[in-house]
Amino acid sequence: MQSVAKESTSKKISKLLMDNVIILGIFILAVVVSILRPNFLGESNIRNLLGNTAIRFIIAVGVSGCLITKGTDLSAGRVAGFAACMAAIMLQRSDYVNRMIPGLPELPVFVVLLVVLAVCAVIGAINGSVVAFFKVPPFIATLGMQTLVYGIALVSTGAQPIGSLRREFTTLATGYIGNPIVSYIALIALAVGTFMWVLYNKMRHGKYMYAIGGNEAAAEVAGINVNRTKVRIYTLAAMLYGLCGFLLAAKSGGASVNTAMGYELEAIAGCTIGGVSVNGGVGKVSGILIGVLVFEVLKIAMQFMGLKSDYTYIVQGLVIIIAVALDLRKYLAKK
Amino acid sequence: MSENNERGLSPEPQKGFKERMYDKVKLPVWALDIIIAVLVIALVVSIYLGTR
Repeated sequence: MQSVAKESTSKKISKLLMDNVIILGIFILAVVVSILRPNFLGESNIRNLLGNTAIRFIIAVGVSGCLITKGTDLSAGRVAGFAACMAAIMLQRSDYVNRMIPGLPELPVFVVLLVVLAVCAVIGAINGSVVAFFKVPPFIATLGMQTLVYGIALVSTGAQPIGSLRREFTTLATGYIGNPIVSYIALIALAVGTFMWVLYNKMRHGKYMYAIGGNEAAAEVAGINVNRTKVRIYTLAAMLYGLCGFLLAAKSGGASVNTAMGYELEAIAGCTIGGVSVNGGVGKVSGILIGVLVFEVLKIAMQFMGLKSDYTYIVQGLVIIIAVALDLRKYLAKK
Repeated sequence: MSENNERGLSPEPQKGFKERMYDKVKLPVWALDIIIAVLVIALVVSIYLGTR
């Protein structure tokens, strides 16, 4: 009897370790780096880490809805980049000689945010409609949108970087409450995380989303409007990419068509590390936060270890491949 | 799905793009474990080479 209990406990522990092996590995790496380089835990580094994590968390939590319904969104990074360009164009200083739109009046930052979110919502609604009504695989539909949005961004900015942004806009990134670690960006990400947690766990939308991810046909039979839910998921996701791009422009003090390049893959990687199954139906907001945080810790730890920049891509790529291999292993072991 | 409905059963789960991709993988779990081990070794080696 005791041996059976012991066996089940050891099985539980090995499953827990297997499920969180990447998180555990990077936690150990962070501990080692903080011992070797004590300023790894310094205030400025923590602030930098939280700022980067906050922006990537917002985009990742958007992508998570698509992943949970067995989809994906490859347009995330480009939509965020386009949003950053739009925000930067509308929020350039009026006394700047080379303004993109010379006659544009100084718009309130909040109004610009609403415009950016509205444009991104339209992009997301198109993505969602193509996936839901025309049954185009999300991979293909969003790949097409990625290229299209990149093209629109190139044309609208003339492939020029946009700078000289208004101070009240960049304060969004530099401002903080009390301690510099509690930056506005971190607080915005916290608000987004809380909203998404309520949406995923306490509201009908979240229940529909998990039901579709678990078994789309059963969800449809149960009376869930699958198509409408998918359109809502992709629209909300694109609005979050828009918010991410808006904050990124404020943080960088400018934007270009290459802003947020590759963020969609980092977001998918963060989600996968954080336990969002690419098989659908599984994923928690807290897991996504941990996944993104772990990925950022990995990047900063590599910088502190003095890893040559050429090698950082190899290491990041390997971590993503290992995360996918572990996800595949879970799937094969379950079969 | 319709056959199941006729028999009063719940519909079979629909497989997503990645699930269908995973189904094509004909590897035994132990072989995948070896691949993961090789990837981890590659990761350690790249960190070592990158910091040298």
